[in-house]
Amino acid sequence: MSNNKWSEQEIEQLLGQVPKVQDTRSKDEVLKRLHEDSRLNGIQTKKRKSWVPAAVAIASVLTLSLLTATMLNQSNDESAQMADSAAEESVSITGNEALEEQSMTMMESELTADTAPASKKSEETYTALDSSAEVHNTALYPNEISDDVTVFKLGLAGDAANSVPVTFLIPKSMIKSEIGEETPSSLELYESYASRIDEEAFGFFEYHPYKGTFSAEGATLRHTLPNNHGYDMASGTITVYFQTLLDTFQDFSQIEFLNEDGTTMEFDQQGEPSKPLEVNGAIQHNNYFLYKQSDGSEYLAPNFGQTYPSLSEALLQMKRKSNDIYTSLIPREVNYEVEKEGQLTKIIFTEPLDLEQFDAIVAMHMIEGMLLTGASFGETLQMENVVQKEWNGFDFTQPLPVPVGANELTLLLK
Amino acid sequence: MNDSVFHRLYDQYHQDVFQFLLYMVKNRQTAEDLMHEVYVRVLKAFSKFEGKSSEKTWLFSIAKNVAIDHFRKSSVRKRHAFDFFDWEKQELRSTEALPEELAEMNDEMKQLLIALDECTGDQKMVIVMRYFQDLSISETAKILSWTEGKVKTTQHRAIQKLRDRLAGHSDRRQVHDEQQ
Repeated sequence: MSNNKWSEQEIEQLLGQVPKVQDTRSKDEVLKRLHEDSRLNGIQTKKRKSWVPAAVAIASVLTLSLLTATMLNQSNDESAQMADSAAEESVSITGNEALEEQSMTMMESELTADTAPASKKSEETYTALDSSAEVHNTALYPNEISDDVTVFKLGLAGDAANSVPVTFLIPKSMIKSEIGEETPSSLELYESYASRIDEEAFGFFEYHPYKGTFSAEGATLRHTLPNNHGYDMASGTITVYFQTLLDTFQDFSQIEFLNEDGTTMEFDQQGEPSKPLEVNGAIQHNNYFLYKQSDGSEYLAPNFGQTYPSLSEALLQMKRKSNDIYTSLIPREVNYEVEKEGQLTKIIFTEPLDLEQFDAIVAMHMIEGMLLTGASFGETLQMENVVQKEWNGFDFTQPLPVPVGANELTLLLK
Repeated sequence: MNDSVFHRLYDQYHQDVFQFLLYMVKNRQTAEDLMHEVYVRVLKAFSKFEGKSSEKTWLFSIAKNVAIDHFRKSSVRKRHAFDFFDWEKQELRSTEALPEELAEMNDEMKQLLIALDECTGDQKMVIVMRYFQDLSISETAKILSWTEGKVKTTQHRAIQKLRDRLAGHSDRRQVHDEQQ
């Protein structure tokens, strides 16, 4: 038989004759399995439909005032910004306590065990049930970045009107062939990859790419938005918009918002011409909490971008239950003090901290949450009074590495 | 969980989506698991469905993502430098034996399905959608978030690749026959 045996027409004909196959299960069988899935059971559904929007609405009103005030005030001088931030923080904590009281009981009972974690590392770590097992870190550290890859950070839109910072590594060979640049800016990376990243496959909304167009002039990024952009539709939507920008374009110093006619954008939620959003690289003065998407996948993320005036304050506040969306990474029985010693910030555990006594993932989350908080202030941490000298790649006799990015994910392109 | 939504979606689309998944993974148990995952994602997100696309293309786009996720998870992944999975360029190869009913097909059809596994992910996806599911070019483009031009080009390349692969199989068989 020669190649002529198969004309394209014959191939198409054969393809059209592929037998139809059916699911032999009954409808009831399919439905029964769905009823048994905790992700869809009554409590979970109730959570999605009733309290999450309510909590998000409350949280977004609180955090919007925080975020917009913080963002708009960032053009003021440093000390004024710190004072504002401290004042806002107390407002936020009070507000969140009210929220906590309202629906505190829902959190523990409703969030279910992970069945479909989005993160590769989560999948691997979920098999570890005790602390002696090896677990992988979820953040990205300097020693994990080889010469042939480039870091791409992105803020993904979570279920709770929040941004979840994630980090991808893209092979330089791929970047060179697709962008032509060896060291592209965050904007070039964004424009090449953001629309192709399969956010839905990770369990997030398909949020990227942003509407409108971006242009860069020096360290200023300009976002020109169409009339119907919708980012200011609600307080929650503008929070996600600002926070994802901050999590994505960290090599610019500010972001300006323009209408298509070149005039300054006035967001509905602010009621005045927008001021540039100050970007301070990865130094965002946040602390980190555990955030669970509704599909059960877990991420370490700042609490709606809440800022703190100092690293020690941020670290100490990690013990507080923040709200129903973000939970503390610090086990209840773990207490610590924070001391600044030269360039180093030390976390001194009150009682000897035996990591083997905790679930390995819980211990890893705690350590990484602290390190990410340190990184958010650009500072190096050292931990004292840890029973283990070394644990899962961390050497506690030395200052610990500063993470480059949170929540490293496999680059999954559409 | 909204049972009435399930009943409607099941009645209208279940067998189509199941067939799509079964031809993607070629294992009935896996297809059942993935179908379950599709329902979970759909039912969780149904209230957010904005009607920007048809319900059918929306369902298939979720099924496509679930299938890609399955191949991604089961692929051998190395950390970092090669730590990405580009489903369009890689094969979405199922290592499974054919399901029972497919095993009874004639040789040509079996060779065709084997050849399909040798296509790149984007080619396999387009062939299954266009020929097995009878989805239009426009529907396929919407599901894959591609232009219609890209669907047509990918389909054309897939057919050419299948032709080459099948010719290769036929030639090998002919040589084998002649040697006997």
